[in-house]
Amino acid sequence: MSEIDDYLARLRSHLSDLDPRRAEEIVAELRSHLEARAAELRAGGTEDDEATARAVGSFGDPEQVGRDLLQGNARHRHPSTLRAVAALAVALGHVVALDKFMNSPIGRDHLIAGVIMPLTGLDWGPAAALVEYGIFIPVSILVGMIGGRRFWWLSAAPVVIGTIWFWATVLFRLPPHVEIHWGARLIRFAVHAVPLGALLAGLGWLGSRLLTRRSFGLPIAAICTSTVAALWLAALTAGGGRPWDYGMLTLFVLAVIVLLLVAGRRDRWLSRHAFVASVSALCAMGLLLVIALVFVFSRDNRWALREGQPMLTVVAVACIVGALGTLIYWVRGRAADVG
Amino acid sequence: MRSDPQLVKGTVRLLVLRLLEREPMYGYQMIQHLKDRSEGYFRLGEGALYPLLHEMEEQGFLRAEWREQEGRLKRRYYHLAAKGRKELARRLETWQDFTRAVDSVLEASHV
Repeated sequence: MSEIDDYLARLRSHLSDLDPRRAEEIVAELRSHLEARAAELRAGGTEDDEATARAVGSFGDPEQVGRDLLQGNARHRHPSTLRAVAALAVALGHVVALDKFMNSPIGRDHLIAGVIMPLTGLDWGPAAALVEYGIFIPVSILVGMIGGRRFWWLSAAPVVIGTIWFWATVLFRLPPHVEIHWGARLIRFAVHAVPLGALLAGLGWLGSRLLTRRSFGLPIAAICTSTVAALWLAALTAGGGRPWDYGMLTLFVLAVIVLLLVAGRRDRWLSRHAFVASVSALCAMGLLLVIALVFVFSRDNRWALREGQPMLTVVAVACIVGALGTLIYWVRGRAADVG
Repeated sequence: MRSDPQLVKGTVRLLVLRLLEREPMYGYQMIQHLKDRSEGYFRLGEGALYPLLHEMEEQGFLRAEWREQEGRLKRRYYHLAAKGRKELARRLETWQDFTRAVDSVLEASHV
C-alpha cells in the first residue's frame, strides 16, 4: 500500500458518519489532489518516495481533516441502520421504564406533589401535565442525537406506536391483558398525542443538531444519558411490577447496550459517546444504589416521600454524573492529545 | 511577504468565489492560482480547502461535477452557482467598505 493509500485509508476511517458514496467521492477527490501534488514534486526533481511523503505531509493530520470534512458535509451525514435501531430501542425502552417509574413509590405523584407543585405553584392538573411531558425531554434529545440528522424523527415513535395501540384496543375491544399498558396509559386521550408527538419530534430534531456542536453537545448528551439511566434504574428497582415488565425493561437495557457497542465499533460519534454514556450510567447506578439503601434503611422515610426528595436527588445525581462523565472524557481526550 | 493566517482565513471565501467567477476549477488548481497570483502570499492549507469547498457547495454557492480528460486524472470541478454570484457581490461590497474604512483610519493617523 502506498503512502497516499495509507493516508486516505486513515482519513476514510474518520468519515464513517457520512453517506458511504459521499465518503468515497471525497476520498477520490483528495486522491486526485495528492497524486497531482506528488507528480508536480516529481517533475521538480524530487525522488518518488519523498514526493509522496511531502504531498501527504502538507495535507495535514487525517483526523483533523476528517473532522473538518464532516462539518463541511453535514447534509451527507448518514447514521447507520444500527444507530436507528439503537435510537428506537432507547425510545421504546424509556416508555416501558416510564410506566414502571410513574407508578413507583418515588414516581409521578411524588414528582408532582413534592417537586413541581411547591416549586411552580401550579395546581395538580397542570403540574401532572408538566411531569408527563417534561420526563420525555432527556430521552427525546438523546434519541435525536443517536438517530442523527437522518433518524431524529424516531423520537416521536413511542407516541405513534402508543396511539395506534390505544385506538386498536378501543376499536377492537381488546381484553385488558392484551392491551400493552404503557401504550394505552401514555396516550389516555388522543388530544395528548399531537402535542406530545410534536414536542418529542422537536426535541429529537434539536438533539440531532446539537450533535455537531462539539463543545456543548457532549455535556448535554452526558446529562441526558445519565438522567435516562437513572430513571431506568429507578424503574428497575421500583418493585411491585409484573415479571413481564421487568423482563421487557431488562431486554431493552441489554439491547441498547449491545446495539451501542456494535454500532460504536464503526461509528466514531457513538464510540465517543458510548464511553461517556457508560461512565455516566455506571456512576448513576452506583450513586442511586447508595440513595436507595439510605432510603430503605432510614427509620422515618415519610419526610422523603412527602417532600419528593428522592426525585430531586435523582435529577441532581444525573446532572452531576453527566458532568463527571464529560469531565472524564475531556481529561482522557486531553491526555490522548498530549500523548 | 509574510501572510497573517487570520487575515487569510477571513478572506478565503471571497477569493474562492472570485476565482470561480472566471472559470470552473478543481481544488488543486485553485491553490496554485491563489499562490501564483498573490506571489506566494496566499498559501492555503491544502487539507483546509476541501471542507470549505464542500461547505460552500452545501450552502448552494458552488456546484461540482467530475470531468475526465484524456490522459489526465479525473477531477472534480467547481462552478459558481447563481446564489454564489450574489454572495460574491455581497462579500465584495463588504470587503471594499472594510478596506476603505481601514485606509481612512490609517491615512488619518499618518497625517
